[in-house]
Amino acid sequence: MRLVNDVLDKLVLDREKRKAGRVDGIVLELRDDQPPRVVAIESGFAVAAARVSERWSRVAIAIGKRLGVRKTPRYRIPWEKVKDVGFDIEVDVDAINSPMMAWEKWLRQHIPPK
Amino acid sequence: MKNIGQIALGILTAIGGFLEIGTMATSAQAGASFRFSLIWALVLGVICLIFLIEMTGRHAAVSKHSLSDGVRERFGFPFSVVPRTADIVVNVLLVGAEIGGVAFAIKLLTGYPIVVWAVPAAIVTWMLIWLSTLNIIEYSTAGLGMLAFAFVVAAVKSHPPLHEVARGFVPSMPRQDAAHYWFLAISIIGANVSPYMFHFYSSGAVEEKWDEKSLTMNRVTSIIGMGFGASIAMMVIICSAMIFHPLGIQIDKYEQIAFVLVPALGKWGIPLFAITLGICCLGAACEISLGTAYELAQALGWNWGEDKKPKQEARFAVTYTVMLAVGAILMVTGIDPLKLTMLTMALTAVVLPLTVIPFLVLMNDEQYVGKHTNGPIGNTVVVFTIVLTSIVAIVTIPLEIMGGS
Repeated sequence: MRLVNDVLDKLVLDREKRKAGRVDGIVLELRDDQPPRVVAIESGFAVAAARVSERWSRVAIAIGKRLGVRKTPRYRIPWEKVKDVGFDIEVDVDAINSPMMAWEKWLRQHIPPK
Repeated sequence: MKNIGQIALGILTAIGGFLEIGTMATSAQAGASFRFSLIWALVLGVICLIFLIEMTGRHAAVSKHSLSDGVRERFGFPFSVVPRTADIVVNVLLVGAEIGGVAFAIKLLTGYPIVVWAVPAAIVTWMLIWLSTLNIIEYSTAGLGMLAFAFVVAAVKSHPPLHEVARGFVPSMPRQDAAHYWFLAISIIGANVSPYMFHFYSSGAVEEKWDEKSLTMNRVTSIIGMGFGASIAMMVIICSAMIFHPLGIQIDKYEQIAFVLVPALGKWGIPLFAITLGICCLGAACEISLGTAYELAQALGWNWGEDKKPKQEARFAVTYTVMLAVGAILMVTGIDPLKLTMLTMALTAVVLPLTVIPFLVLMNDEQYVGKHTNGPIGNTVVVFTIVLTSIVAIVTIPLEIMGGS
């Protein structure tokens, strides 16, 4: 598997096959005398923004904190929860009750019905 | 029925690209100032557009992923953030211009100024998107957009010299006011080859569940849809050339464009122009605000879909709502809609290369398009379009300063 090509930026589908977000970052564990190990994938605008500029990331985190909807700007999904790496990344997570879809959940509670 | 839906998607996409306020303005200005000699810019734009729209449809049908998905996945966030941000800024201005177009159309019918109608126009657009489905928006706008055939009638009745019209298909150097000529040429290309069209069309194809069986119809749709739009835009150039140019009238107000149908259709000319413009701008405002919501949702991995209830895809619904609200606010401030339109056409031209470059990779990636990768002709057109749009992007700002309206 080529991590950057096959995992990074791919669409994350939760256990209900809902579009939950994108793989904005990959967390590796560096080990002595052994190759690095993939620990988790990360999701969150601040994670993606950090790939462009740390300042952007800090701004995103500060705005997120002020708005207070999403509890954590960096949401980590342990690699053990990754069920399939294909065209999309399928994870064993209930996204709607996770920080990935915190804004979606909040907006659903605040917008009028059709 | 699915085939009709496909063609309706193509026609609505074309209405958003060709029959909205931007193309009306640039085409009318081109005809008034330079008669038929800028028709080539329209033809060049539509040839590129037919190929690129076909590619976005093919990409969506085979991969079930839209253009924005593909760009994020293949090029990564750091690349995609630049064109997406630029698109969003330009699209907000464009939505403002389209709402201005709807408000101007109502102004022609009622006499009340644009600022009075901007908010109602935005609310009607929002309600159409919020309450209906993609199919309803497609069928209603594409169906009512057929009123644009009034421009064909007017062009035929104006008896244009066909040999001169034919000469307009070949690029020529201007005899005077070169800066304005080239500014209009790039504005015509910028007004027609707009990034939101690709996002809207490819997302519509995913939403309508196109598959490999849809590929032939996709080809037909891109030719019919874009051909229809470009033909009507050409008729606007012809009408304007026959009416305004002999009188030496330069178009610097929307009100002047409204007279384009009067010689052919008499007292019905202005109401028919107003209704056609209003419907086309309404369709374009829907297309641009939805296109932006699709683009943002796909880039960030949100759930999206016009056919779902707003509560099921809340971030998507809020995005197009905010777009329309900001567009309405722009118009309420009293900003000149024609100046805003010309500015957004030029800005669109600046960001175009960033949208077109990924086609070269995505349409040759077997993981996405399987055996339906681009052939040599398709790749040549993409390379040509990248070169063309890059030149356009470089010269746009200097020309805007020297020759813009």
